[in-house]
Amino acid sequence: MITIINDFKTIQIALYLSDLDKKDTSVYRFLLPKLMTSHTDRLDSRMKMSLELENLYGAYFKIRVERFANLSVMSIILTIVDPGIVKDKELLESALSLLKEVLFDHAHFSKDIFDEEKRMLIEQWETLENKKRLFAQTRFYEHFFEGDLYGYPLSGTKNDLEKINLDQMMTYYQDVIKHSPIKVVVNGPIDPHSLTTIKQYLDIDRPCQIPFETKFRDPRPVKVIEEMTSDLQQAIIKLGYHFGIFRHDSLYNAAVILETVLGGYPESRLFKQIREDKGLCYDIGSNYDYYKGVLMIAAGVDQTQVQFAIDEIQKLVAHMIDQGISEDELKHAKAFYTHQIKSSLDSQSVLTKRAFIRDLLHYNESVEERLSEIQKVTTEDVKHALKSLILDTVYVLKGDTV
Amino acid sequence: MIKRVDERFHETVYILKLRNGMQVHILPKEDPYYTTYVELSVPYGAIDLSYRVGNQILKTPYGSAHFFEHKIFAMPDGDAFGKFSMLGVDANAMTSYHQTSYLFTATENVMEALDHLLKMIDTTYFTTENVENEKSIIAEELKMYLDDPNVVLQNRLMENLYHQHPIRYDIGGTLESIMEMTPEILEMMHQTVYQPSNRLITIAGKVDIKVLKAYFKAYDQTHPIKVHKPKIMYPKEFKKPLKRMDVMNLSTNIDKLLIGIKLTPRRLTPRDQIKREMAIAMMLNILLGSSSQAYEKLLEEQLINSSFSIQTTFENKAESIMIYAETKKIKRLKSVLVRLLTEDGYELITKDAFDRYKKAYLGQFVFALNNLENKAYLYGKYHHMGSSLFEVVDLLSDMTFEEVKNSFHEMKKPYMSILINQKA
Repeated sequence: MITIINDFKTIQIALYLSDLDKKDTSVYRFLLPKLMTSHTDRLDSRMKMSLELENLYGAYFKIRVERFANLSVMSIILTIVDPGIVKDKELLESALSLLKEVLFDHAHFSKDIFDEEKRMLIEQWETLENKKRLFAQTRFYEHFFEGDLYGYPLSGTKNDLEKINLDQMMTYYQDVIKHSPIKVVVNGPIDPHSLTTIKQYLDIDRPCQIPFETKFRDPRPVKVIEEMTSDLQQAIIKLGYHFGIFRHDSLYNAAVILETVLGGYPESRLFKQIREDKGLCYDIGSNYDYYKGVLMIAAGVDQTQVQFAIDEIQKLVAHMIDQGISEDELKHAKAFYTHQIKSSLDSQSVLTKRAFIRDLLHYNESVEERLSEIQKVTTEDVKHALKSLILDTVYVLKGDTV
Repeated sequence: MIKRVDERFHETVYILKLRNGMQVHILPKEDPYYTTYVELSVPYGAIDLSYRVGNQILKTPYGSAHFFEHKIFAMPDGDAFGKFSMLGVDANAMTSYHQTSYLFTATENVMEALDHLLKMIDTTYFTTENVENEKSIIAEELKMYLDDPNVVLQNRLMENLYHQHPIRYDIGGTLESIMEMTPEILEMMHQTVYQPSNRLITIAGKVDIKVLKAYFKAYDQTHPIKVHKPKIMYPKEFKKPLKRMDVMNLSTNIDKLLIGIKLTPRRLTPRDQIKREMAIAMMLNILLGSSSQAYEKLLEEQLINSSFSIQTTFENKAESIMIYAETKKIKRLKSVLVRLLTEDGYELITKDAFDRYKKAYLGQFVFALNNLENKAYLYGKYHHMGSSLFEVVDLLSDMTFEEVKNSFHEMKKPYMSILINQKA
C-alpha cells in the first residue's frame, strides 16, 4: 500500500489492477469495473448502491481502464470527504467496508445490470459517428496504430460486446480477484489510527511481475486516409508522426520540450502560426505519447481549407526540423512545462495516480531531479530529437457536402 | 483589509476594497502548496447585450462578451498570451451567460503575471484587421460546436423556449451575429463594463498577503477613477414557450428527446434565490437521480441509456430545466417523463431522500473546496450573486423539506417545450 498524507479535504482510496494488455480481454476489463461498482451481493441494485454513496456524504467512485505501453490498468477510486470536517467518526470505516465489498463480494453479477451495461455500451458504439471528434479519433487510432494494440478499442469492439456472456464475465472476475497484480494507494488527511484501520481492510497488494515494454512498429511510407461523414461543418485533421523517443530515453526531456514548442501551449508554433496568424482554425494542438514514442497533431479546420491547412502544418514541422527552435522558445517552454509539473503536485488525483505509476514502472527520480533535468535541455538536444520526427499518417474527416 | 475565518472548513478570506470600486478577495492555502490561482471576473456575460449608461441605451450583437474575451488578449506589442507563457504561467479565459473570467495559474512570477493581467484588461488594442481575423477564428469555434448534434438540439430547444431573451442564442453568438462586431463596439464595451468598479479579483493558493496588499494599494492610486456600473437591460419575456413541440431530423443513429421547462423567475434576495436554485436542483435529483425509483425503472424498461442528463439554468430573467435522453422508445419515454414531471413525481419526493441529499450536497460542497480552481470560481460566482461561498452551507442547512417538495409545482405542462430528433 502506498500512503500519501496531506491536508486535502477529501480522502482518496484507489485500487489499481494491472495485467498484460490483450485484445481478447479488453471487453472484460472495460465492463468489469462498471459491474463491480454498480452493485454487490448486499447492495443488489444500482439504486441501493447510489443510496449507500449518498449516505456517505456523496462519496463517489471513479473508474477507468488505461493503457500504459503493454499494460492494461483498471482503476477503482473511492473519494470521501474528510471525516473530521463532517464530524462523522464512522465514515472512513463505512467507506472501507464498501470498497472491500465492491472488490470481493460478488458471488454473482446481476443479469439485468450486466445486460444493461452491454446495451448502453452497444448504443455508444451505434452512436459513435454522431460524436464527430471521438469518431475521428477512433478511426485515426485504427490507422495510425494499425497492427498495434493501441489501435484496438479500450472497450473492445461492438462485436466483442455482443458476444460476451455473464458466465464468461464471472470467470474473468474470479480470475482477476485471485491472480491480478493489485496496488492500493491512499491519499488524504489520514491520522495513524485511520491508517491502521485502512490496513486492516485493504492489506491486499500483489506485486506486478509483468515486464514493462515500450515499442512501436518501424516507420512506413505515409498513409493518407480521407473519410466522409454527414452533417459536418468543419473538417477534422489528424497527423501522426513516428518519433521513436520513449520515456526512458536520454532525449525524453528534449522531446517533451519539442512538443511544448510545437503545439503544447498557447505560445506554441501551431497555435500562433496556424490559428492566430492564418486564422485557419480554433483548436489546434499536439500530443506526445512517450509510451509509444509517437507525436500527434489535431485540428478542426474550415472544409474548404483542408489541404491548405495540412500543407501549412507540414511546412511548419519541416521548418522546425530543419531550423530547430530558438533560445527564447526553449526558455518559455521550460518555464511552462516546469509550472505544469509543479502545479500538478497540488492536485490530489494527480498525486494518487503518479504514486501508482512510479511504483508500477519503478521510477525513482524525484520531482527536483526531474525539474533539474528539464533545465538541462538545450536547443541542440531539441534539434537532435527533431531529426527523429517522421510523418506516418494523415487522417481527414470531411463533410459530404462541402 | 478585512479578514474572515470559516472554522468549519478551515478557510480564511482576506478582502481588499479599493477606492476605485475594485474588490480583491484572497483565499490563502498554507505551505506546502505550489500553485497560485488568480481570476479577474466581471459580472457581464453572453446574455448582457443592452445596458443603460446615463441617458443612453447601448446595444451589442449576440456573442459580444465572448468576442471581447478573445480580443482583449491583443496588445500593441503582440498577443498577451506570449508574455504569460514567457512568465511560465498558464493563462485562460471563459465566458458564461452571466460572467466573463480571465485567469491564470502560476508557480513562479505571480506578481509579474498579475500585473500583466491587469495591464491586459486596462489596455485595448482593437483594430479592423485583428477584429476581422478573430471573426474567422470564432466562426471555426462555433462550427466546431455545431458539428455536435447535441449542441444543435440544445440551441434549438432554447430558441423554442424563449421568445426574446438573449439566452436563446449560444454564448459565442451566431455565425451571422459575430460578423457585426467592430473595434468601436469592443471599445465601447471596455469603457462601460470593464472599469475597475465592475471587477472582482479572486486569488487562491500560495500567496504573500503583504506583497499583494502593497501592489493593490499602488494600483488604486494609479487607477483612481470610479465609474458607475451600467444597468443591464433584458427584454420582457413571456412565461410560456415560443414553441411547445418540435421535430428535427439531424443525421443521428438514435432518437433523441429533449424536454425544456421554463421556470418563472422571481424577485428574491440573493440568499433566497440561491436557496431556490438548490431546492429545484435537489427536487430533480430526488425525482430522477441515480438513486431514484424512476431512474431505475427507466433503465429497466430500456427507455434511456448512459447519456441521460438533467440540467438547470438560472440566469437573469431566464430560468429553465432541460432533460436530455437518447432512446429507442421515444413515444413511451416522452409520455413517462411528462407525467412524472407534472403529475406522478410529487409523491416520490420523500423526507428520507431529502435528508440523504442534504448530506450528499454537504459532501459536494467539500469536494468543490478541494480544488483550487473550483473554489475560486464558485467564490466569484456567489460574490457576483450578492452572497458568499461559505454562506451556501448555512443556506443548505436552513433548507426545509417543504421548500424542496413545493418546488415541484414550478414545473407546469404549459411551460414545457418538447424537441424530438428522429434519426435519419
